[in-house]
Amino acid sequence: MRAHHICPIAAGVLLVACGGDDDGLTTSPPEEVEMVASGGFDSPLDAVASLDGETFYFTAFTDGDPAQAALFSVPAAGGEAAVLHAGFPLEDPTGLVLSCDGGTLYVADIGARATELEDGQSLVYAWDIDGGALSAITLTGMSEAASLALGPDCETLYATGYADDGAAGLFRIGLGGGAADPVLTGEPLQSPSGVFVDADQVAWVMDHLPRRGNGGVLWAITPAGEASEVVSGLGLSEPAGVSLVAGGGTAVIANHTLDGAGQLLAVHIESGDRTEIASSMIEPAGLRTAREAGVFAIADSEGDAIYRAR
Amino acid sequence: MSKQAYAAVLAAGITVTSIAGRLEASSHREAPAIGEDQFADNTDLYSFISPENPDNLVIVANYVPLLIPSSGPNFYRFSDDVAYDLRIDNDGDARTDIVYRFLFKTAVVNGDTFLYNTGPVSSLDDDNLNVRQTYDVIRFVPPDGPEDIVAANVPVAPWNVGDRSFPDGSYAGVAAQAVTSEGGVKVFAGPRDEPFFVDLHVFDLLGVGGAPTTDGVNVMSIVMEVPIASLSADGVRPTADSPGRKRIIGVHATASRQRVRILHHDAALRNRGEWIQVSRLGWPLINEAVIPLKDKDRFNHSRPSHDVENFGSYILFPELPGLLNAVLGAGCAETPADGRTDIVGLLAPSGTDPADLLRIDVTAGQTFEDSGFPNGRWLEDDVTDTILTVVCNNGGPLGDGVAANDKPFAHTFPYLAAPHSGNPISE
Repeated sequence: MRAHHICPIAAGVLLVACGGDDDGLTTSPPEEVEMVASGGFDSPLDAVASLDGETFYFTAFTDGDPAQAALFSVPAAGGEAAVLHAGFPLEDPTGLVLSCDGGTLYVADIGARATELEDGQSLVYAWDIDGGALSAITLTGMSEAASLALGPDCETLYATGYADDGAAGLFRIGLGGGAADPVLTGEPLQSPSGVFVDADQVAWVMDHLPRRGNGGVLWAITPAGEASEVVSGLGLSEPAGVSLVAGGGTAVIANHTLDGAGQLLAVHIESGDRTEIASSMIEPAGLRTAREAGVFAIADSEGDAIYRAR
Repeated sequence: MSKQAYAAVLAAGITVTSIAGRLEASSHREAPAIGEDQFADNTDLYSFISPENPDNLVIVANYVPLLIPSSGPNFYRFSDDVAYDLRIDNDGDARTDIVYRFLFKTAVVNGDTFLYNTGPVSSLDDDNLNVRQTYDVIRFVPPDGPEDIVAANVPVAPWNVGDRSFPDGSYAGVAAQAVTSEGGVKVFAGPRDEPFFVDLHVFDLLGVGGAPTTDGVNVMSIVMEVPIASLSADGVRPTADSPGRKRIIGVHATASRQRVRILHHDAALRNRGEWIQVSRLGWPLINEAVIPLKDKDRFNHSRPSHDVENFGSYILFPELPGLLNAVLGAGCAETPADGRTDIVGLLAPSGTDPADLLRIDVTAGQTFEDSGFPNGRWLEDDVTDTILTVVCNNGGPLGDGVAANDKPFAHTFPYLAAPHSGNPISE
């Protein structure tokens, strides 16, 4: 169990740090941010680091005409982005997460339901990094998965999307697909996007909250489906990236200010204190930390660049 | 030109004599992208001290341009997918301090008929009114200040389908039921007669001749009347002792769509993501006659606080005088080497930061009689003539030859004229 991870003390009540074995993982946000790739792709959506933080994978569009939705890789130290897969069936791959063994990338694609499917079915995709093959995972009970996270058991995907009745929701999905298990559907969720799941199976979900006025929020959702508002007044992109630092306690959020300036933001969960980590990005979107390294991969969707924070 | 506009022009050092010339449409289909997105298109914005209560400010924001009254069977309405905002700057820095957001929902009572109404409609809750729209008004202080529901599930006035649906002149009474007051805030949303009067033949190489081309069409209107004190930073109406910048309320209206729209094979669609501004309006005619094609869409997505850096050169060195001279021989004055700082001054009254906001002096003692473009904008103001005259600066008034609306305005809420009937049997 992680040190200083976060657990809810009561439904709807502020979350506080709670105990755990000290495994030495950092609870500090990243401080150093640098661009690792730009050019050869357009409008990156989500990015994830390999287990050791040495390789970044990201979803974006090719810069050809017509542009194709694609999966890319790039050395985290910087270099030229390589296309792993481009075109069908990818349409709008907004979410990306790496398996615990580092061998599989799971891809959420909000356009995936537009492919030919039986009623009530939807898809996420799996990319075998060694085999170089993309396969579809068929789901029922939800659609338009926008973001994915892997649960602490390494066998459960968490996805934000919509239930069959149109209600926004957070769902658990087996790695092999099948019926999605709703963690929470409907209020207070309105337009959930990025998701991160911590060691206690608490899901940290970004939500644009379009039926409210003042920007997006970060929800913490317990395994029982109880949601607490952690941070509000956020300017979120789509996807709206969030990850907790490896040791928990601090959320790293892709944000933009009231003036529209891109911002990588660290929010201390307990105190609510916000710290700007970087302002060099135009529109930070998806982001994810490496499982075993204090490295974050960040997609700058309007800056057409991938960044590393550490 | 209103007396206030004359005063502003004279204060800016512009001489007014006489000449002929013509131009423009306020903000109807003014940019390439919004031209493809009719339901999010701001057309005009008005702001004036209430003629009914001098302690109140009235804001009128019109959207969805140039609507033919007989536009059935799916008559015009507000979009359920658009956030319509009235944005308030109360300290002169051109940044939004208060937002009133209008979010709409449409319901169909009986989906088994194609009819908008299944019989004569005598009230907003008449069973025969088959397509109904409601809205919520949310007031919030960005980015993370207080947020309140001002009004919820407020009915939108229906379309004036025709005299068979609203017999014996009953439409006005039904529409009046859509006026709602909550906590001192009065709101109305629905179709109205298009109040902007202009000769749109201007776009045929500035060739106008006084044709009232916006007569007979409707528009979708949001009207809100609020206590002036509620718009100020400290909750008190400014007085003559208040700093100049705080005596000015700057308003602009916007429309926003969510970043992502997903279309499904079964005809369902879903929007997701943050609100992205796709249309904005402060002064009339800025995006039409000042901003060039290459920047029109960017203007609609931008914020007024960035106007100087983004678009300041277009204000300082407007294209219009040269066109008027070349096409009409209007004799517009040569632009000074340092640009039209006089126009910039009009956009920055009382020491406010220059920006495309519709600004009005709300100091205690100001009344409806003081409201007139560019100190706010009343419905009757001939803004086309005012702006042409100011921009040309040839020593004489210019105009498009259309001086009034086809329907009279009221001095009672919601001030705008009732929409034209889709089937005016009795007219």
